Amino acid sequence: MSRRAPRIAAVLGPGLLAGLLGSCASFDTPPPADLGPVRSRAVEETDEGVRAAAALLTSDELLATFGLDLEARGVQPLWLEVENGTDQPLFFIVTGLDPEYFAPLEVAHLHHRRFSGDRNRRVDEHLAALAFDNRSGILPGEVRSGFVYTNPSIGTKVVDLDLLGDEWATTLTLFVPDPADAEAAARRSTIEARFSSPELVHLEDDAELRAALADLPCCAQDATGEHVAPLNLAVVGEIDRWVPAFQRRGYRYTEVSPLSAFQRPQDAAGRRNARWVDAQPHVVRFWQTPLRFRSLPVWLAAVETPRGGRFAREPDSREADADAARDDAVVDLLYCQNLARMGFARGAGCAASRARTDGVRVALVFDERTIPLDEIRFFDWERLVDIPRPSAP
Amino acid sequence: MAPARSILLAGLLALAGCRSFDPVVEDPPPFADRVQAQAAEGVTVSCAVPTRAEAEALYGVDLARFGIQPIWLEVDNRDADDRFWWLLPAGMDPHHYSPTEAAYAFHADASSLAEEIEGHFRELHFANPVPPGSKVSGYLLVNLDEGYKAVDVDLMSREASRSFTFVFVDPDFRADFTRVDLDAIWAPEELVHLDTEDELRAAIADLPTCTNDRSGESEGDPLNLVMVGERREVFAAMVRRGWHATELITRGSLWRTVKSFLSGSRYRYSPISPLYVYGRPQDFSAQKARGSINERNHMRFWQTPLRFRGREVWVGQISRDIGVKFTLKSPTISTHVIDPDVDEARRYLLEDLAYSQTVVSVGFVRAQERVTREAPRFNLVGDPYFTDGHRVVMFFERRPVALDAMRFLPWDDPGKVRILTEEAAP
Repeated sequence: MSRRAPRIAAVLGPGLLAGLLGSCASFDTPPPADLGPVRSRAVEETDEGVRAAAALLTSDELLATFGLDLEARGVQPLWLEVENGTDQPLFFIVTGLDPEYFAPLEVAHLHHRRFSGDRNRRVDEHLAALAFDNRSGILPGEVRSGFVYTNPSIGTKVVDLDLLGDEWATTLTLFVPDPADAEAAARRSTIEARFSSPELVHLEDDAELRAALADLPCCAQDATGEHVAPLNLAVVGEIDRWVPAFQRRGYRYTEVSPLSAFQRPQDAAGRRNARWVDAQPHVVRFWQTPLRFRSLPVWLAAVETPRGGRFAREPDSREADADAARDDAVVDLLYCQNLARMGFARGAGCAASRARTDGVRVALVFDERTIPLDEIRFFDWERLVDIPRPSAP
Repeated sequence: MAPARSILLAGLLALAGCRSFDPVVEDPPPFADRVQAQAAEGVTVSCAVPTRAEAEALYGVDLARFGIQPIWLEVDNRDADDRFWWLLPAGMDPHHYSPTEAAYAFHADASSLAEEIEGHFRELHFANPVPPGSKVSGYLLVNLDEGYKAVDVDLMSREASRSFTFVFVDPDFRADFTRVDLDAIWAPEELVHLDTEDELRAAIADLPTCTNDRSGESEGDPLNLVMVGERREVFAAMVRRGWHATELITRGSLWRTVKSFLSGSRYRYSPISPLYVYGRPQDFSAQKARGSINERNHMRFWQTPLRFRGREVWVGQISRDIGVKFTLKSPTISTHVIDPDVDEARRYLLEDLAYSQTVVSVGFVRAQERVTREAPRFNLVGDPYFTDGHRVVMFFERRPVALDAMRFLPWDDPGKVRILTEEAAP
């Protein structure tokens, strides 16, 4: 041991010294990184003459591109490219993508060192040069690309791109996979391909949908088989339509305890987040059904909150008044901007369940269009005013 | 009318042991003189915000301790179409509290009273829907804002909606803007009335360029914001996007700022040091906390003597705080390191407020020479900044204004000014 110590010191010493004085303080602007692989795996959307592409980078690609460990400082750079095929200049709204995005020189400041003016200036210039230049509108015919410094997301990043012209706006939604999470794409295709075409039940008119919804399972069950959560939402639409809708209202993909419906755990789950206050603690679990309404997949979901909500002392307990969470969640989703239709059907909850419910299952149909509050259409089914509410405790 | 006082749930004292629960529901409520009402197409909405003390008397517990605030609402439905109207709590606060949830916060304090508290909360709560020809009133529980409160009230019926916005100033909060009488900053003869967009554009270009120190001798941050509109719409837009009022610098508020500086936590109403325009400190300031006090956006505004088609015109300054340093030039001892790219913060604000659904048009006016990155100027605490020299002008209208209805005025184009000397204009 003692004989080896000097050798270790001899090896580590200069390295340590260099580390303290040099390498951690030094910054050499990296050569322009090859963004070819990033570009080739970018996801793309085109709408109303605007094409957008976006990609996330691996940790190695980030280090090679930036020469700094941005991830360690809680910054997730998103590579973005916008091609303006319209006839007017367009402005990209960064706050729509992430309301708490980082400004380039702010990210640079996180990597500044004391008494290193020259080095800090190089860091500033490098991060500003790589940033998506948003100082001027994107001109007709122009292709512009660069990085937006966002807050990290877990798994696939759902990117809402709002582009603004004069009395004109369009939104493109991109699902940007995390290259570090290779299984995400596989998970998604498993969910999408859950039912083969002979199993599918095609519904065309509103009455058929209402009847089919009433026949779906009433509750999700826990591991003991007890009916614990009324399946109180029916979501109609492609994943790419309803995921952004829930996301806009603060829902984020999360791991939650499994509940069972259709003899399987939920296909997906989300929990609400908020920026400036504590979020409503809604948890929603989704199961795909074999139903197709006008070719759109129908999902069954249970939204619930823990007993005591944000003041819960046992997060795994369930609020007995299951309808409050459903009503709050539905009213909130009215503001998602792409809810096309809604209706009140029956079928949620049962006598065996511990949860009190009026039995209403709310159907929500999501579209790709932007739809204001007063253009949401209603299925001519139940009227809420006619449904007796379970008595308060 | 003499107030008829009814004390609810009296006698619970005996059950409560060391805790008591005696809410006092007064009729008329103590805030009756602060009720505001608005009507649209047969529907009248009345609204008021109880002070913390009033809310505590009414609910029998201190809701503000948990960051909760009740809003009183009354909807009078005289709609000619005989519709049911539903009040949408998510429009007022996407993270509002149900009465059950809010009551639960007090279970630990008074578990023997849990049911009474929850029953009382439910009884006070606003109950949807509002049937045709009737009037419904009650309270909604939302996240607490101190200083001023903007209340967005959306009502929905089948394929129809109505929107209202109310702004209330908390009579008990020592906000910076309570120091000045915003209605009497300028004498009537000092006001400059403008009617055309061209006149306004020219007048905005001539407004003061930068903030000053108290003596008026040294120049500080550039004045890069202009807001045109009713005070109610402007304040509501900011609150909707999470901007908060600022407490006057007092011993208490200073202590809270120092504590948040030391602990790295958020203090949403921290005082903002004074800068000067027209020889007076800012009329009001607003701030948006981010991760901590080190990351904060803040802005200061001054009312100008300009009136555009009767509306007030405000000039202001915004900077993005990216760090903090000590200084003896500020009464809060610490000051912020700002992002030297002040145009970035200006663009951030425009984008942020575009989502408030109240910005109807936007223009840019060139107000000073560009300041390049290689030859920056310095503000009053020695931080460098560079700019294309433009100020953004935002016009506010009644909500809701959709994003795709926002008009860009064909004024100056900041995109044509480059902030690096070697850059060519596009």
